[in-house]
Amino acid sequence: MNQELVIDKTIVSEFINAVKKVLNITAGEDVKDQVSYLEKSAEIPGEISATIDIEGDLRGKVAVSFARDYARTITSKIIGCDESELSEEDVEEGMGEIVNQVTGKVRTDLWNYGYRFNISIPEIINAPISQIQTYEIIPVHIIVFKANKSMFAVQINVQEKNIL
Amino acid sequence: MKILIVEDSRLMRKAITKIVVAKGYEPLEAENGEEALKQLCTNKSEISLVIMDWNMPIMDGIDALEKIREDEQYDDVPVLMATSEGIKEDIDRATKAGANGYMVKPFKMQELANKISELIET
Repeated sequence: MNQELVIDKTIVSEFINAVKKVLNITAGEDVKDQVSYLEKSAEIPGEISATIDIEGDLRGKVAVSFARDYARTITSKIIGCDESELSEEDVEEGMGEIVNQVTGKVRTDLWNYGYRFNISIPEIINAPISQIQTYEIIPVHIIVFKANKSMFAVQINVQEKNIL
Repeated sequence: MKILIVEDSRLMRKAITKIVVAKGYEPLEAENGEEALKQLCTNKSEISLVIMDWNMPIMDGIDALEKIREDEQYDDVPVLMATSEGIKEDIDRATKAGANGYMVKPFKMQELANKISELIET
């Protein structure tokens, strides 16, 4: 990766705000951004991940990664049911819905800054962020969030098209 | 009365179904716009409301909405867009295409319940 390339602070900030808002509104969770990494690290939490591709003025990939138990908790809160009622497929779809809503909100919010981009259908990967393939020519910014009972991570691997 | 839930996410269909049932309506489900049109054709006058996602494979929500509005027999069926597509251009496009309501994700399920009441009662 070119170390001179970093993701614009506004973009990172919009992702942090979107994560907080989506989890608060859909699951009643208050989460805080704790620490950021500019490269992959074994310390980054997560067991199950969901990714979404971005294409347009902003290009790349966004991923969220949760511990499996916490993914189940969040999914049960989104649906409004007991955790025991959920299948593994439900939990995976919960992850997909979170990355979809977070990136959708960022798309809406960044529109005001002149960014135009579309987002793909989410993909579920049963692996932590450290095992998710990234675009090497695009910088990586990983934010670790602290929730009441768990930590989780959001990986932003995006760049403005005109910089590429 | 039936409410047609058009969502590619099975999880979100499940979440919306809970609200629909709690409000005393019978839920019908479709995974994409194409399935929604088939459900409308089969159930015709029984459907009181369509809740439609936008970003779906095979046929997306806006194409399905446009096709619904091309058919006069569905003139009285309100369509509520419930989607992550939240920019003004998206909302304007859906409104022009004949959407009766628009909710941008994320939203609380109670807000959806209120919107269902508003659209069906009016």
